[in-house]
Amino acid sequence: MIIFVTALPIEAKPFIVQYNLKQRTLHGFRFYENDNIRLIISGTGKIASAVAATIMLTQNLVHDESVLVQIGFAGTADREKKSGSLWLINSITDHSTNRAYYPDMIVKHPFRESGIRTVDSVLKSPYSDEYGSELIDMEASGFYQAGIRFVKAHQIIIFKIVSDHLDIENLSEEQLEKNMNAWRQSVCPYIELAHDELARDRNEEPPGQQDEIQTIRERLRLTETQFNQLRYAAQAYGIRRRRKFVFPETTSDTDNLTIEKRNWLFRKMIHELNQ
Amino acid sequence: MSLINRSFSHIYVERRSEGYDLTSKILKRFPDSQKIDIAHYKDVFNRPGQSFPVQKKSRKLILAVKEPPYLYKGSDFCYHDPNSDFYYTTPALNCVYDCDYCFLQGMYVSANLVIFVNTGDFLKEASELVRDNPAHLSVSYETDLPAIANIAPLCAVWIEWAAAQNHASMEIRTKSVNTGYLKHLTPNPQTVLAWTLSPQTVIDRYEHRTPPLIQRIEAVKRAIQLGWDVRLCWDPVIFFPGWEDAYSESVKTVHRSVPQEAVSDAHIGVFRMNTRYLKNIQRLRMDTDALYQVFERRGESVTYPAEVREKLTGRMISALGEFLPSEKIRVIG
Repeated sequence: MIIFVTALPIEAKPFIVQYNLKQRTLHGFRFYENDNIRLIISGTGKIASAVAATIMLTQNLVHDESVLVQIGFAGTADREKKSGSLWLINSITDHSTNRAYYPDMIVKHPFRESGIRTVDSVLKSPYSDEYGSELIDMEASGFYQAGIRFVKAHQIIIFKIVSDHLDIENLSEEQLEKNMNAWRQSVCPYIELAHDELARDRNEEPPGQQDEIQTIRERLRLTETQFNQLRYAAQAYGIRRRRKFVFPETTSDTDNLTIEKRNWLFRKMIHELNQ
Repeated sequence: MSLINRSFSHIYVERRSEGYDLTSKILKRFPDSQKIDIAHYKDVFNRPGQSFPVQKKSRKLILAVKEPPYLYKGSDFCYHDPNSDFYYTTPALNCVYDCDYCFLQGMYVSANLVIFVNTGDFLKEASELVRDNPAHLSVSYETDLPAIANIAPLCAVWIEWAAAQNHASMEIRTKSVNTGYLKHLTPNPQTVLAWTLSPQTVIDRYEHRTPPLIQRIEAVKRAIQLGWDVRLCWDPVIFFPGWEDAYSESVKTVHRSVPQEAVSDAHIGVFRMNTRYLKNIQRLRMDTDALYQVFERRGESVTYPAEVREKLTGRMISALGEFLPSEKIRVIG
C-alpha cells in the first residue's frame, strides 16, 4: 500500500490523475483511493498533516512494505535551491521544539537531498537569515511524528518542491501545478520501486499452526503459560525444521481426561517439539 | 543492479565532533556520502521506528563525541584473567558484519555504525585505570575494530597505547582479514590479536558478509609472522545439524596451517546470550535457526541445555587437544 498525504489539492492533483484515484470523504477530509494507493488532502499545518496521516494509518492498511509519502511545496531562503527544484528530505527539524527527525534513506534514488524545518506559520523574507539552506514547510514534522507511530523510518518518504524564496506574494498557481506535474514522472516510479523493494524480502513468519494450537489449548485446558510455551516451541520447531509439527489428534474424549493425563500430554508435545 | 544505497551513503555528524582529526579523516574517505549535521548521536541511533534488518542492508555511519564513562566492567560471558579486572571499551558501536547470532541486534535498536571520534578521552581514562591496577581491556567488544580499520584507524592507536602500559593486557577480537594496520606497529606482549575461526559451514549459514575461514587463517599467519601474540577463538560454538564434523574439520584446517607454538591460547565458548537480547532479536527475525534452538536459562542468559553444551565443549576440547596443549585451551562462559 502506498499512502500519500498532501496539504493542498494542487499538490494532490497529479497523483489523483496518475493513479486514477476515486474520491471519498473520510472524517471531513478529501480522500482518494484505488486498490493499492490512498491519498488524503490534509490542509496546511503540522497538526492537520498528523491527523490526516493518522486517519490513513488507522485504516488497517499498513504492512511491512507500505510506504507513507508526503509531497508538497516548500520555501527556502537559499537562492541556490531553485524554484521548481525537487528535494528528497533526509532530516526534519520542528522549529518550535527544535527536535529533529530522520527518515531512513535505504533505497537508492536520483534526487538531491535536503533537510527541512517545519514552522507554524507562513514565513516571509525578513526571517530568511535564520533558516540557512534548509527548506521550510508547515507539515513535515507533524506528518513524520504521526507516521513513525505506525511505520518504520525507512517507510516514510517526504518530497518537497521549492515554491518560493520566502516571497510568496509572487506565487503562480499555474506554475506550481506545472512543477508538481513535471516531477510526478520521476517521483512515482521511485515510490513504486521503494514499495516493491520493501515487499521483496519481508521477514515472513513461517506458516503458523495457530488453529491447531488453539484447539489443543481448549481441549487440554492449558494455562496461559503452557499455551505460550507450546506456541513458542511450535514456532521454533517450524523455523529449525522448516516444516510443521504434526500435533496429536485431539477429540471430544480429550476433554474428559484427568489433569495429570492432560499435563502428561502437554509435556510429551513439548518434548517432541524440542527434539 | 542493486536498488539499495551503498553502506555509509549517509554520514550523520554530531556538530561537536567537527574539528576532531578522526572526523576529518573519515569524511575525506567518503567524499560522495551525504553529510547530515545532527545535535546528538542518540537522536539518530536511538530514535524510535528503526528496523535493524532493513538498516543492515544499507548501514549509515554516525560520527560522535562520547561522554564518560569510556570504560565498562566486562561481562561474565567473556574470559578474563582472574588476576586482573576485566573492562571493555566502545570506540565504536555496531559491526559491519551480519552474523545471525550477534547479540548487538538485541542490544541496539539501530544497525547503523557509530564511531566515537574523541579517542584521546578514551585513552586518558584507560591510562588512569591501569596506572595502579592490573586490568584486561577488550577494545573490539561491541564492534569489529580491525574490520573498520581502513575507515577509522583505531586499532593502531589502541595497540600503541597498550605498548606503553605496564599493568594492562588488551584483546582485539575480529573476523576481519585486515592486517594492514599492523605493518607499521611493533608487536608488544600486552596486545593479543584474537580471530574467530568458525567452520566454513557456520560462516556460510550464519556469518554473512564475513571473510571465509581460509582467509581468516591467512590473516592469523600474517600476524604470527609479524611477531604478534595470537588467540584462536571458537566462540560462539553453534549447534546445528552437522556441527560435529564441521567444527572438527575447522580445527584440523587450522592445525594444518598454524604452528601450535605460535598460538598464545584458544578459546571455546558455546552460544550464550542475554535473555532480553534474544527476545528482542526473535521479535525481529524468524529467518535463522541459530536463534530458535532449544535453549535453557542460566541466570540472566540463555544457552543450550547442559547435555548439548557438554557435547559441544567436549568435542572442541578433544579436537583442539590434538593441536594444542591443554593449558592453552580455555572454555569461556
